[in-house]
Amino acid sequence: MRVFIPALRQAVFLMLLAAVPSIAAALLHPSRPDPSRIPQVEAAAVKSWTKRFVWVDARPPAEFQRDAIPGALSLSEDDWDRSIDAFADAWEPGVPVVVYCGGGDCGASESVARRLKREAGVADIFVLRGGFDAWRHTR
Amino acid sequence: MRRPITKRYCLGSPTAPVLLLLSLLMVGSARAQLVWEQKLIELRAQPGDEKVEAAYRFRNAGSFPVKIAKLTSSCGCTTAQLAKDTYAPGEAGEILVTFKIGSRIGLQKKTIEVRTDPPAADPVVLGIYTDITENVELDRKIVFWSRGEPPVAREIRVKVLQADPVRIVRAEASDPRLRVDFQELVAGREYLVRLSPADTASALRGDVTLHADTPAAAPQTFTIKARIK
Repeated sequence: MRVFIPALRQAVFLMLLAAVPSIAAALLHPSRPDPSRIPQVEAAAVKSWTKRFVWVDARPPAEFQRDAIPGALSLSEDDWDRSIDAFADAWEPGVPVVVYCGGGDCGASESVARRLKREAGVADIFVLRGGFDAWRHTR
Repeated sequence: MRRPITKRYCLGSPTAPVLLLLSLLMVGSARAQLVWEQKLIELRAQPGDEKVEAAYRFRNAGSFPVKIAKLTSSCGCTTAQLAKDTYAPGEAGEILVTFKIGSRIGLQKKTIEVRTDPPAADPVVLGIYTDITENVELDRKIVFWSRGEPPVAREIRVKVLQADPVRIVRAEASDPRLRVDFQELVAGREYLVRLSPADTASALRGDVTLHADTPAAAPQTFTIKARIK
């Protein structure tokens, strides 16, 4: 017992010592995860969903007209004020939403998803990783 | 039997460092050398502004002409213009980037990738970051009720973010089943808007418009969408 207590004390001390830089890194690291970021979802995972959800196409309307995921709603920040009505008509609270844009680092899907979360209170919202290109390649 | 390593391929050979240096110099000389004044431009805009523009100036610091072969934008809302394609050694030029704001709000990060011929050592990515700050922020712009649920009021907080106060003077609903009232929490700066339907027995598709008295020439309005489904 006499040997065990100092060893335990040392172990706790070492853990606390290790915790200091870990906490500092978690708070200050430039590439720490951003809690406000919208979670991403893979195209293959969405295709396996059996629950009801809404696709939102964040690309410019002209691109949506050319080709889009069947059943998707067009909601681009190019004409948000006009398109948001269609979203309000189609979506119901509790139904998940998956937003996509062209692919790569297009960024529009993240921006649209953030706005839907804030302005309409969509809690269950995702961004499609790789965008429309990724969806097309998993057809 | 193992083959002996010939002097030609031996890294320990006295000529190897010289060959390595020469090959590195040759690779370096085949790279485009555009020197940029700045690669990231940060701007501010207001909702309703049509566009912002940013000019990225560069100079060909190399000893041979450089052609700007391709400009790729991260967004259909961002375009890049160039007066000409090819720049002689020592010649300066600029890429004019236009970001169309549309209905965007918040911080918008858009990029333009520049590809040259011959290619640069690292791909050049120009950034145009535009902060589009709303003057007045509504914490919710669409409210919902499900059919049959109790017609409990939905509360929306309105905050004035601009320096000048905004006075909301009137609120009206497009559907008579929708009741709207508002309360000024902080004079000219913060309001609480309450929306409640008379009942939720049937579907409703309406708008609520908040009317401000500023700016005098064209007073602002703010819209909240209401749906019973």
